[in-house]
Parts: sequence; C-alpha cells; structure tokens
Amino acid sequence: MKAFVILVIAVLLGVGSYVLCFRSATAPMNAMLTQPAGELEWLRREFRLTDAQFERIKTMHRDYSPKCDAMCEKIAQTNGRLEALIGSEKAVTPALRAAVHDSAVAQEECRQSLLAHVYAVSAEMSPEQGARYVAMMKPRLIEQGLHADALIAKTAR
Amino acid sequence: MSTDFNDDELSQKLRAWRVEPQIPTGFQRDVWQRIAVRQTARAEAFWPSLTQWFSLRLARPQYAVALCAVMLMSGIGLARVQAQQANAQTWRMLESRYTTSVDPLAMTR
Repeated sequence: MKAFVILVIAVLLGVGSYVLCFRSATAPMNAMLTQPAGELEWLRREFRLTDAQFERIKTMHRDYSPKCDAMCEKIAQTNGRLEALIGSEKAVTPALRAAVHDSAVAQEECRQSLLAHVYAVSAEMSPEQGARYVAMMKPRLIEQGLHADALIAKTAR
Repeated sequence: MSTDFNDDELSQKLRAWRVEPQIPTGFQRDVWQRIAVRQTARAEAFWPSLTQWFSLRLARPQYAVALCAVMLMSGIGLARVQAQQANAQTWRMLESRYTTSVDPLAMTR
C-alpha cells in the first residue's frame, strides 16, 4: 500500500512537472500569437530591432495597412470581374482583354507598393538584418500571393 | 524368532521374485500435464515477484526519493523538448502572419 502511494505521488510529480514546465515555456510564444500585433512583435525579435527602429517600423506598417487593404479590395474586384467574364464569354473579347489588363495592373501596383514597403522597412533595420529581411520577402515579391507554407518552405531550403 | 536363513533358499526365492509394475492409463498424459502446470506457475510468478521486489524497494526512503526525482526530471525534460517544437511551430505561424499582412495578394486568397 505504501509503495502504491509512493508510485502515485511519483507519477503525479512527473505529470505535474511536465504540465507546469510546458506551459511556462510556451506561454510567451502563445501570448504573441494571441495578441493583436503579435506579428510585429515577431518582426522585432526576429530582426533584433531596437526600440526606436521598432517604433518607426510599426508606424510604417500602420500607414501601409490601409493602402494594403485598398489594394486587396481592388485586386478582389478586378479578379471578380475577370472570373465573371471568363465564365460568360466563349472567346477572348475586348471586354475580357480589358479585364485581364485591369487585373494585371492592379497586381503590378500591389507588387510595386509591396516592394517599396519592403525596402523602406529594411532601411530602418541594421544592414545585416535589413538584407535578411529582403531575402525573406524576396520569394513573396517574385511569386506574389504565394501560400505562406510554400513561402516558408522555400526560404528554409 | 529364528533368524537362521537358508541362504540357498533365500537366493532361490529372490531369483524367483518378479515385479510386474502396473502403469496406470493416462500416466504419460498426467506427467506432461504436471510439467505444464509447473511451467505456467513459474512464468506467472514473475509479476508477483516483481511487484513484491518493487514494493520492498519503494518502502525504503532512498528508493522512493530516487523514483520521485527520476519522474520529476523526466517530466521536465520531456516538457522542454516538446515546448521547443511547439515554439518553433508558433514562430513559423507568426512569420506567416506577418508576410500575409503586408502582401495584399496573399490576403485575397
């Protein structure tokens, strides 16, 4: 009976220490995931930004967000129009050509804007970190709209 | 009581004495059955003896403390390894969230 009690205590100690240790080790990271601007906190830690650098980049990100949303809206509209025309037309009509052109223009504007933002952000970082940042964003600039997992897999190679 | 034996007569009687044992039916089967039972008993005795050994050891403080220490260290060690993996996955998710937040085309997908 005594041995059984000791065994139970030992198992509880093991399980308890696991749970406590795991939670405390993952709590900071989980907090970043749940907080609203967690991705900016990620940027700060990943690229070792100073407080001043971080504040400036945060401002740039805040200013860029409405432009980003507007472009997102424009791309969604042009793509929507293109999709509708592709469904309704039977051949390449002037309307379809115009829709393709509009979609391409919207995407080009998006790419130019993203490139400008990437360069501006990298300029705020130290040279070494700035180069790393541009290298990280390069696949997304070249193959824009790349799915996140594919992007991370590419940069990992 | 007379203990004079005629040696020749005794020898003759001994020579004439024959023993014819009667082997019961199923004798072989019984022997094998007993062997099987004892073998099973020997195998089953492992766990009771292990439990008894464990109980005796754990009753002593140094073994109880050692077991608790091992469980504690194992829990902490396993937690650290798994936390590392979980944190790495969270880091990748945050990276993905950032890159998506600045790429309008990714947002439309």
